[in-house]
Amino acid sequence: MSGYVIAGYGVTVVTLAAYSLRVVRRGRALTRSLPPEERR
Amino acid sequence: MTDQAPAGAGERPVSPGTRSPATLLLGAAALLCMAITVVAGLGLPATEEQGPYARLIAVHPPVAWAAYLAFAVTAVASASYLFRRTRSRAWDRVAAASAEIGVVFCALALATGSIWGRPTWGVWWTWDARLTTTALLLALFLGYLALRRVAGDVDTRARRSAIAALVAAADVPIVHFSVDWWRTLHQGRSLAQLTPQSDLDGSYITVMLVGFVAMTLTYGWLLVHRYRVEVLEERLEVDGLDVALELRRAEAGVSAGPDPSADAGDPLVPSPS
Repeated sequence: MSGYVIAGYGVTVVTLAAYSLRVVRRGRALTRSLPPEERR
Repeated sequence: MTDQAPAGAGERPVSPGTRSPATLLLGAAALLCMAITVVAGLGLPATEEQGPYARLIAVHPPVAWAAYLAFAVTAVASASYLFRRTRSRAWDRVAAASAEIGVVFCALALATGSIWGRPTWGVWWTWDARLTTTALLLALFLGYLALRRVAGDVDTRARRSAIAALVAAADVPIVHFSVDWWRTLHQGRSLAQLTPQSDLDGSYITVMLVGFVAMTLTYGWLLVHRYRVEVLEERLEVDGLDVALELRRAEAGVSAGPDPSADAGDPLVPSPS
């Protein structure tokens, strides 16, 4: 398997996974800043 | 992804939750499709023209498609915000959320394109029409995101950003048709080759289409969650302003509301005790 092909798939999967994690964690951190009765 | 608060300045946005059955299902579908795309893509046979590198067809066109989709949503949401009849803070939030996701996919399109170009063209980068216009698209939307960070009134920021988004989105059709309008190194539009005389093998087309579905589902899932972040950030910005105003009033020794028994005078000047 070519290193370029692995790199292409790897960059795509890792970037999307990292960005997804960042968005979810940011959302959770912001939710913790809300009063308990307003969290969903 | 509903915003229960009505439109208008000063409205406190309600934070939407994202653990609904629909979003969980969307996330699971995206993950499954992505896994199928990766496995099927890596399992494609090598081609005569490009050897093993043609396997990148499962990721490169799909991430480019997702970038187009994201920026198109930003443009539509921005236009909806600018029209008085459809104006709503929710459209501005959708535009912002979609733009950020679009920037991620656009950067991925450039990166995977560069990785594909190195072994096939011999270079990481060339000032080809498709590559150049795509890089311009990325720069324009990075500028949009930077513009959103400029301090100012929420509605002014939204209006300014909406105009910028429409200008930036004008580059999307230029990127797409650049391979037809100019002589380029980049191959022609992949989906336009879906004819009986197509040079693309059926299995390649199938995996590429699965990739399109995977990236579309991933975009949808990201949009739901990024929109929620947008609502929460705006909410904290509004709450933070309220807290700051209360602190200033407390420092000046002035209550939050008018006191009917007080003498008429400057409400911000404390009366001598």
